Amino acid sequence: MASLVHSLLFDTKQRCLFLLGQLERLKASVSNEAADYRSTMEELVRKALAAIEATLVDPGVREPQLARNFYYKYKRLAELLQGMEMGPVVALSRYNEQDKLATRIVHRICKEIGYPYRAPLCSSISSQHYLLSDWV
Amino acid sequence: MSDMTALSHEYETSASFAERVNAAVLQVKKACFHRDNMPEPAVDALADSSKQLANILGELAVRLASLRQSGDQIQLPQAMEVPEEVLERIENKQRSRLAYFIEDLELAAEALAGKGKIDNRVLGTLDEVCEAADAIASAMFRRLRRR
Repeated sequence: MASLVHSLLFDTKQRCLFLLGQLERLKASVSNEAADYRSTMEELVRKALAAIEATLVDPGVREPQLARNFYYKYKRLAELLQGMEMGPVVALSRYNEQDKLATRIVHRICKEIGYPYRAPLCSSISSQHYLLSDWV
Repeated sequence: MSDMTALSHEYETSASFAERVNAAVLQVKKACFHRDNMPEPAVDALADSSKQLANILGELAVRLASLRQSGDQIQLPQAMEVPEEVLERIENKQRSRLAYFIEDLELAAEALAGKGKIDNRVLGTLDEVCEAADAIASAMFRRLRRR
C-alpha cells in the first residue's frame, strides 16, 4: 500500500505538470477578462504541486502504518486536479467570442450588485445550459 | 442558490474537514510510529493537532450521545465543526455498538488532551473518524462530478 501511494502521488505530480503546461500555453491566448481567472487557477495548481512534492519527499509516505492517511491526502489532491481538468482548463481552452460576451455581461452584473467574490467565467460547454465556472 | 452551488459548497466543507482531520491524525501517528529516518513532528504542531482532534472527538461523542437519548437532556456544543453527513455515517456504521463507540471517542479525546496514553484503541478510533470524513468527501465529489 505504501509504495502504491508513492506511485499514485508520482502520477499526480505528472498530471499537475501537464496541467501547468496547458495553463501556461493559454496565457498568450486568453482575453483580459479571463486572464485573472487563468492566473488564479495556475496558482492553485502550483500549490497542489508543492503539496505533492512535499509529500513525495516525506519519509513517512513509505511507512505502512501511515499509508492510509497519505492515501486520503492523495485523494483530495486528485479531486482538485480532476475538478481542474474537467472545469477551468476546459472552459479556458475553448473560450470563444460567445463566452466572452456572456462573461462580460456577468462581470458587469457582478460589479453593479457589488458581488463580493471574483466574478465567474462563463463557458457554453453544455448543450443545455451555461456553466458559471466558479467551482474553485 | 442552485443545486450545483449548494453541492459545491457541501463538497468544499466536507473536503476541508477531511483534510484537517487527516493532517492532524498524520501528526499524531508520526509521533507514535516515529522512526530514525523520520523527522519528529514539531512540539507545537503536535500539540495543536492533538487539541484539534480532542475537540472534534469530544464534539462527536456529545452529538452521538444526544442522538441516543432525547435531545433535551444533553447540551450540544455551540460551535459545531463536524459536518452532519459525517455524523450520520458514523452513527449508521456504529449503530449496533454506539454506546461503546461513544466510550471510545471519550477515551480518545482524553488521551489526546494529555490525560491518557495514545494506544492502538485510540488510533483505531481516529482511523474510524478519518475514514468517515474521507468517505463523505469522496461521495460529495462523485455527486458533484455527475452533474
